[in-house]
Amino acid sequence: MRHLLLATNVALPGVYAWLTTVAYPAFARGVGGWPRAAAYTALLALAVGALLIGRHPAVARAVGVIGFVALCVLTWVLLGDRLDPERLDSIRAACGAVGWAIFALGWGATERFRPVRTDDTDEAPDKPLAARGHLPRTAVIALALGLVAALTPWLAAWQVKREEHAVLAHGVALVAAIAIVIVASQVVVDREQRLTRPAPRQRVRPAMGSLSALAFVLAAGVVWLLLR
Amino acid sequence: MNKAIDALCIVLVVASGGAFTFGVRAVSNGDDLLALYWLVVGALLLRAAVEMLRPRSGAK
Repeated sequence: MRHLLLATNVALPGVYAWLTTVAYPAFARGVGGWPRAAAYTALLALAVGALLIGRHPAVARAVGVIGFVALCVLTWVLLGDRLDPERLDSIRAACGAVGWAIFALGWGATERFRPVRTDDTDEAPDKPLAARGHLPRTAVIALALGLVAALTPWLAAWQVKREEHAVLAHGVALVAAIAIVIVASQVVVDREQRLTRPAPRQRVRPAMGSLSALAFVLAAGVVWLLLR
Repeated sequence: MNKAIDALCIVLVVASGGAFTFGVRAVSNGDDLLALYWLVVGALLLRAAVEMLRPRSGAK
């Protein structure tokens, strides 16, 4: 499950950065086959890097970061004059910059999950530590639901056609998607790992403020809808 | 009962995705007030999920 989270953490922003800054110019009309091939290979490198992140972190980093970035640069080089700054869409460029920043942060976050080697263990140094437990299938389903919920506003942002609102929509959708993924992963992992859980009443009571505010806002929305 | 609350947490997270989607669509339509409304609803849904997940230690 940790590997899945790590892979998602690096793959989602990578795909976003790829879509906004590489795929968009590479798959425009009139572009030759080589830039497209390079763009496809970059995406493949990202997927391979994300898949290997749990088993071979060094290889994953080499392919997923260096390979992916190098192939994206190659795509841009092959595009040549089509990347003229005067032709660039400023909104997509801004979204792409955000995507690349999050991509870098995603790979940076994998550092703290690197296994720490100690001298006082009988295990072979290269042998991975055995997991103390495994998350059940329901946890994977719950996480999948969270990922779908995170992707929905992100995809909706691409439907925004008015340029002046597109950046705002993408910004909001990206922040919302990150928040949803974080909360969904917390729900899944905490649910399975916590040995002693507080009583149900102790869990619901702290949320009463938010739930009451939510009920009030929803009721106000219904009233507003009726009076509109 | 704890399982039901866990399920409720997941429902709240999924519902927040829907609320944020409505918010983004409202931004697309230029309806700023409606967008703000749905974003507030989404934020409250996520906050409620987190608070049920990790109750503060001072909660009685």
